[in-house]
Amino acid sequence: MAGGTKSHYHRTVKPGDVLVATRTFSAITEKQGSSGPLIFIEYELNVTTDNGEPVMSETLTRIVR
Amino acid sequence: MNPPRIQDLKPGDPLPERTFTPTNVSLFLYNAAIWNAHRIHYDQDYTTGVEKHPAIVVDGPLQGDWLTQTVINWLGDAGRLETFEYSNRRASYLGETLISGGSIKSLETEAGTVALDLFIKNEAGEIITPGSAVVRFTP
Repeated sequence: MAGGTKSHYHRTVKPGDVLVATRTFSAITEKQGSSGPLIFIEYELNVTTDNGEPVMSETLTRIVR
Repeated sequence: MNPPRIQDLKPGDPLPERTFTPTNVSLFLYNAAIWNAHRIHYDQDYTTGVEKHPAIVVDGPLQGDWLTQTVINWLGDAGRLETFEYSNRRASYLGETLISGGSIKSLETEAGTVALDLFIKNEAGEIITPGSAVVRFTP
């Protein structure tokens, strides 16, 4: 299930930009929910230009029952 | 609607609200667009029989996208979205009508930034997806 997202937009993108996106599996934790254990999975998405300038970074949480 | 001007804003001012009543067709189209094949968004028998949800589930990221739209439709060309977050706290099901909206939380007029509180509410008035954002106005 979807858990939420936290995004930071460092700059706007322009025609001609070459973007590089890297997605990293960054964390996995177990929590006790009201209907049993829940597993929280976090991914980091990082987008830069091809010369390394930050464009956008995002943490995405997914919940698995 | 004219784009907002930072000097006209004050904490507590509301952002325009919008209501959404997803259908099985609109949820199918959304999930096709995000390449999500999870059957809880279009297969009634699977959703209730296998995963034991009461009904077809409204996507959490779709609610996040409505919150992004709440901000950028209000802001227009007056600035840009700098940070944005939301958290899916409570499920929503096919047949429900949801309301998106928000308000001005705080302003830093000199820096040109405005912090916003955002929400998706259900018909019972419960906030099922709270969110927040910071926008930077173009000088």
